[in-house]
Amino acid sequence: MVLVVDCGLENIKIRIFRKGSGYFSAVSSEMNMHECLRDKGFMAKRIKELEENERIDAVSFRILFGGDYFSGAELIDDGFFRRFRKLTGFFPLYVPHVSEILKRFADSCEGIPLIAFFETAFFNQLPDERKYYALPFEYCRNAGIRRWGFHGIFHKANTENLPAGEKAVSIVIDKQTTVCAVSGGRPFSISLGYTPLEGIMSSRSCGDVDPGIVFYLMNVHGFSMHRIDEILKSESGFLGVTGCNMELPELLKLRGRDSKIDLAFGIYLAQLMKYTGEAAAALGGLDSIVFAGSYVADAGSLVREIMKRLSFLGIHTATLPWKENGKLVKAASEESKVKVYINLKELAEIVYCYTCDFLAAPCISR
Amino acid sequence: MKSDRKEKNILVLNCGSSSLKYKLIRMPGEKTLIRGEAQRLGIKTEGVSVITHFSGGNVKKVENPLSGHGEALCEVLGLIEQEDGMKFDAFAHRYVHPGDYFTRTVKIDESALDDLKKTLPLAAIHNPVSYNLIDFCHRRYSSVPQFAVFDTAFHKTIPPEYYTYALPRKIAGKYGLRKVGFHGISHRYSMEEACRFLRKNKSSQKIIVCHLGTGGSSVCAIKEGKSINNSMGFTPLEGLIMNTRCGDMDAGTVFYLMSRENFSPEEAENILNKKSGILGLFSRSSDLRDVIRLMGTDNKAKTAFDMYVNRVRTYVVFYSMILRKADILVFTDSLGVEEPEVRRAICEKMEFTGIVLDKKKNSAYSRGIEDISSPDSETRILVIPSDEEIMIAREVHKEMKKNGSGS
Amino acid sequence: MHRLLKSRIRGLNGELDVFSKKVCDCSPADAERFSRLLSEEMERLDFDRVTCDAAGNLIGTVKGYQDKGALIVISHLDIPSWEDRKKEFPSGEGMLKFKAGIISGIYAGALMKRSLLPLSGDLVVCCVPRLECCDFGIRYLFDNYLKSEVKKIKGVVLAEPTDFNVFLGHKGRMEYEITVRGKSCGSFFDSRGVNMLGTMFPLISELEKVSRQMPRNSYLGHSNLRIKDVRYSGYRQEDGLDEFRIIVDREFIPEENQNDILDRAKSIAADVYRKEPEVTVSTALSMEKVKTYKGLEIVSEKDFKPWTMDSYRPFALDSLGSLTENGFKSSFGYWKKITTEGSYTYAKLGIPTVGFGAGSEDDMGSGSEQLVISKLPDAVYGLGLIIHRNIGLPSFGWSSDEI
Repeated sequence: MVLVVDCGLENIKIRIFRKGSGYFSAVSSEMNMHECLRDKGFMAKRIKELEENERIDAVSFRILFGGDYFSGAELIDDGFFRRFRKLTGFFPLYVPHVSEILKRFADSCEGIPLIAFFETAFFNQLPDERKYYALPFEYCRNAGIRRWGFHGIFHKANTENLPAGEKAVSIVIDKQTTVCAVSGGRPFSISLGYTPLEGIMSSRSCGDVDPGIVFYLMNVHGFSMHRIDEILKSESGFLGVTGCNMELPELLKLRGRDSKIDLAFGIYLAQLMKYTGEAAAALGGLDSIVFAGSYVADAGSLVREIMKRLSFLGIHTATLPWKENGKLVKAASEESKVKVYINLKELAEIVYCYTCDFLAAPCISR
Repeated sequence: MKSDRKEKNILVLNCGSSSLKYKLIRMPGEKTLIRGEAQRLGIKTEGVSVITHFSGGNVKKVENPLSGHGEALCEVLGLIEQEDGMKFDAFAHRYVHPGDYFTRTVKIDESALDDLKKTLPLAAIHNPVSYNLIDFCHRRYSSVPQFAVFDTAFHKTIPPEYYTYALPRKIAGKYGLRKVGFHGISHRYSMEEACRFLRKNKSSQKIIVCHLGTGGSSVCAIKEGKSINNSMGFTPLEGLIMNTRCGDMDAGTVFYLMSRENFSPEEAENILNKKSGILGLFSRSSDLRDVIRLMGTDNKAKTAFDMYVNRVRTYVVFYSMILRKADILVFTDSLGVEEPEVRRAICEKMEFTGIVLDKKKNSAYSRGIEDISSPDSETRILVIPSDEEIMIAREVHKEMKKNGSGS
Repeated sequence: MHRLLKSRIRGLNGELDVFSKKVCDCSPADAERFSRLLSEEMERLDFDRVTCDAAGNLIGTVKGYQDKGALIVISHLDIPSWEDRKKEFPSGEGMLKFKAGIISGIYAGALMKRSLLPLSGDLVVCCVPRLECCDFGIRYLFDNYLKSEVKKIKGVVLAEPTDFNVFLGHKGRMEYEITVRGKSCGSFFDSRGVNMLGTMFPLISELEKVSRQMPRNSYLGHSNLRIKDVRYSGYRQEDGLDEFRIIVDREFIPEENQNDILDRAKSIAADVYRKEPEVTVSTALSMEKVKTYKGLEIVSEKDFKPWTMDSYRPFALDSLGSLTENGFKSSFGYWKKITTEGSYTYAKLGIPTVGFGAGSEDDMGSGSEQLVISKLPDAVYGLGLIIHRNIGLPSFGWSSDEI
């Protein structure tokens, strides 16, 4: 049995994977964060309950941020905590929080390997000219202002089975939408930068804006930076433009019925096009596009629209229904110059597969 | 004086923060009669102001302490009057950021001045200088008609999905936060010249213009003669990497600079506007031409050049996508015209968008308008030297003809 | 950030209720028991360090991730004076006001601890004992514990009733005595002395006159003079003189100077007795002897300085901004009636100081404790916002939605 854990601020989501005959099954479980913080024995109790029927082989964690220190999956031990806590200054809202939860897991799961997977690790391989901003050198290198990227687990999984030399653009449609250029297993561009404010808008965050707007609001209209930050990260995006506090799949259902929602999707697609353009420019061409993310299964219309807009590059959409091969859907027809796939795997599943690989690697003694 | 009344002499004034470029152009022939530039205006510490004045084949240099743009203009007008028979029929001013108040060339009167005054905070460096000069001319030379030509007017056709930021509707509406776009005068000039050169009707062409200057730079997507997108945004800070401006940037970095390094909003703005871009990356110079010279041996220069080129390529492919393949790609302004290496790097491996450069033609380019695309390129690649003053004069002349027929 | 704080307060609500009840049921007259109740709660809530000093200051620390200057949250605990110790301390009415400050201070610390948000400096929550008009607790706290344990202080937040506004000062308050000493005449025919008791009234009437023309400060309002007590000691064996004392309770504004007030009082009295060369007049601040339950004895002047901090100070602006940007309809203001430890932290030490809390000073003693209890979560939230804005490491760009 393998647990795949996602540490939210309100609750800890756990997916429990059991190996069946040839395949595996997964169930979900949750721990309330308040309980966890109030009662120190809470975690150990829950782990014991889970362990009653079956041994836990490993607990894996999806971690949003790993900074410069973590470029791949790692076993969680004392050294891990020392390095991880050094990242507090980069992401104060998250690092101490996750660190505390990991610590409690470590205390409750003696003898069980705990493994950390990072959403940013993949992007430590970005070339310098893609990693940094056109800011004075000292702020980029010394203060660590760089593109950290996001959705590295998805982008890596999306592109790892492509032939060598293939120029691939990976698009993840999730709470955040990100676009990444990959060739030879290396990233060459990523839409999400230093923070999720840059890149493509989400349900409540703005995506690309002119940084001049920030200065205009501060200098001419007296906004504080904290207020602007709040506006940009949680009052903008689809919520700001449409007034609807909904996630992407629900909004997609309302397309064509409300001009504000149509406008919001217009902006969303424009931003997506910009980063698809960036990815194609970075690779000097485009052989395949792979979609993934928890919203992608509900975003078929969006995928078709993106393909239509790029049809001048030689993309031919396959007739519906699209062929599925396991969890991989082929969205482009045979004669299409650019291949298009939709990867329907959920994130926890990918992490589970990586966990199995990790455990099978000879360097781990158990 | 004998003159054909159909001909008009237009004095075009183009203000920088501490400089004033002027050109006396005879329309409709577009003949430049006099041109020149006053530099170091109003700066007390850096030596005396200089006016360099070209007339016919002659060059005149006048050194004189000048307190500001108004005083410089008086001096320039004195120089022009010394030329025998030089008269002018209108002032034409370039005005950077009129916000929502003006979307087309305007004849200056009291009410226009009132509206201009409201735009001063929008471009805190450029607008006040231009405004003061317009106000000065209005009071001093009330008999000469004056026109303001706007850099943003060309971009008023950008559709909502490209000009709207994904910000709260209320806040964006209240403070007028939207993509405005800049360099419109240059982009329009490039479009007109490109279509004239290729003998195409502009309403049938999809054009991408790369205005690559040593100061500001921007890329523009043009469809059916109308701008539909521009890489600059609400301010000239967004978009390409420029000499000292960072271009596209995660807004989060601004907050971190302020909270970590304790910068005030003004200091942070100064860093992004004046200390970033090529200067921030290369530190030894803000001029891409120095970067190009040194990038064979200097790693920092190489990174700076790659970042610069990558950003332009991003916009070229992005605009190719929204235009669904461009018919014409134009390079203009100093870097776009003078630096074949910039054009080569931007067009490299762009076959998938239909852009194929002829490398020989590219490096052989010397002057005027030229087509440097390979014969098998689906997109015609042109180099077009910019002449904003001619464009301004065209705009004003058009307006004068309209006004004339109306009276 | 504010969403996380709000959510963590929801998680703390049950504990907050239980603790509030416990505090309400405990009389502060039993200082030792009350103090133990508070320190046990702080320990249960995982404060990194909890101590109690000799003056009875209770100090709980939440360690910072960095060391860039601490924020001190101060609430006060009124204790009965030495003389009143035997009297029954009134419980119930009016008692909860200051208890609300104590509870919100402690829970603001707990909130920061539970939210796991890293701080750029220590958060020190102090509960300071105070006698009416006598600030021995805060003096002792700064002279001893804070001096040795805290290197740099970024600011002080006073957990006092402000109706969720940010208060920046109040009038000063002092108590002084005018002592008149002279030979009293024995009878109508006795020409050797003065009618000491009789001449008291012209003096009182002069003071009353003065009290009607008090100076005014545009933020704080008028100064006040009130005769608190008159004590006639009669014939004194040691020098054969009679003595009486007028005890004056005086509110004053920053434009006034304490010594000038004492000098002026003295000259008024001297004027009344100018024809009586044998009468001597003196003025002095009242003193109070304090003995804490820990056995420490302190003699302290009865004196709180007036203060007003400029509203453009970053500490004031940030504190107000953190509230107004997150749903509070707060503005700057000043206390009109009460005095606080700001007299020491700002007027004396110059440390940026603001006040914030539930309830208003006008309700003091009006028996609306239930109302204040219901406002406690908001008071804790507001304090949390102020603390985080001033010493929290901000997380820009990432909203809690993503996590």
